[in-house]
Amino acid sequence: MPPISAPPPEGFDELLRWLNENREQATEAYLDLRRGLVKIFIWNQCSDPEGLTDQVFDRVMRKLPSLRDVYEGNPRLYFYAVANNLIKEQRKLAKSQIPVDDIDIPIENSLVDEEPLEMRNECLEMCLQALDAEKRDLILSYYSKEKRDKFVHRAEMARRLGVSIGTLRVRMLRIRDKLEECIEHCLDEKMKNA
Amino acid sequence: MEDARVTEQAARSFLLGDVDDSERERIERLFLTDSAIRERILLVEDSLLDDYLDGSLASTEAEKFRGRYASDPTQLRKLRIAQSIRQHAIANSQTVSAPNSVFERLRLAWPRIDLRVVAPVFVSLAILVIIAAVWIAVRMNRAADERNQQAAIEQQLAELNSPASLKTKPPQMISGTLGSVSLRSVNSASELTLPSSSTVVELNLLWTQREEYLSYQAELSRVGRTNVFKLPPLHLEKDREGRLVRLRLPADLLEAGSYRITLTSPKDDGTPSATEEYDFLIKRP
Repeated sequence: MPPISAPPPEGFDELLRWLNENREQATEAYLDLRRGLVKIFIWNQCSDPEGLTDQVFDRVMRKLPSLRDVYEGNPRLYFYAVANNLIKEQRKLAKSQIPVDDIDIPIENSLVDEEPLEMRNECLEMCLQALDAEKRDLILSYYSKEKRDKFVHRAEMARRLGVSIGTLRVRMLRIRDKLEECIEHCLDEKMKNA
Repeated sequence: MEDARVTEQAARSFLLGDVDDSERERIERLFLTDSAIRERILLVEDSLLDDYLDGSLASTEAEKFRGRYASDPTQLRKLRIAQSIRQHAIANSQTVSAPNSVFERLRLAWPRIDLRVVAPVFVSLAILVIIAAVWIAVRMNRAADERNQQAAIEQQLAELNSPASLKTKPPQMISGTLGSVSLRSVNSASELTLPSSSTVVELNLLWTQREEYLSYQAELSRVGRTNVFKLPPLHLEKDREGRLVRLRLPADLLEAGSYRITLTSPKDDGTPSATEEYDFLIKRP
């Protein structure tokens, strides 16, 4: 494998410019692309999806000086092609390593609960309070029923709010994403200080 | 309208790892470049997570879900957080409610009005206005409620009749075979007795017409009611009993009474080309 050189220091600015000439929109596009790539690595069961996403950006940054003037089409597809190569490399690597099934790991260790339950609940409470009251009430109401009851309850919620079920689902997904991000950040902080 | 490039079913198969590499790459490319498709996939993922956490995924799907979403500590942590949010919401459901309706807001505002200084005529007028507003709201809400409930039931039917779900055998499933109305006398509808423990009813609809079609559209209705529930496209299967179309219904949707299923096979232009009807009677012990 050829030695991996660090991307040029001005590479990130170049990369942002490739995504969009407007700096603010480029930052948005970068964050959005980053979230998408992390998801794709997760779906492909790659270990360390965040690290692999960094590798994608590093690889593109190194190629960018020669790529920018000749590449045609949506830059996101180029990022995807790099990510897909990494996925394939990861699969090859996984095949060449000892299967996890063959390693004797005690089951209780593999299911260790990283953070104590109270810590998670504290973060959940804190992050719920950080939401505005309307969003907090909505998300708690949305998830308050299970199984068949949830369909009827959510349909009733959509009717009350005067929106379709699909619109309500999208709204809840966005609120929950923010809430989960806040809880993860809070847990990281607490674990650091523990 | 569903985007044909990545249907909800295709997104579900993709998320559970049931697609080959070329389909995976196609969907992942669209996920990164098309915001509408991205949103659709994330919603399907959310719905899978929802079903997994409340135990409504079929066992094979649950196993696949665990393989993909609980395979490393970061993913496990995300699952625990999602579970905590749901548990917290359920625990608080007694005290949390959705935003007040117009009627509830009026009811809450009522005590602020000093009735001793309000003239009786004004009170009468206010009551009349409220009654009229409530009457109109109830009429409008009822229609919207019925539409939303119908959509919720049809979503449940789509999940229950997805190709992946049909391959599994859920516990407490009751099965029955129905011949079409054209093959039987009018008064001989099949009877199905559903014990209270049953969760799913599987019906095998015998298809006796010579022609076979790519897909079949089924509609369920209760005799004497106007509601018609549409099922997702179904396919012909061959069995010891002959050619049949298999479908599943949630047991709690079926109250005691008579039901009819209409099976049509659409032509390329969407118009029906062949139709069969199947009647059955549900009995509850």
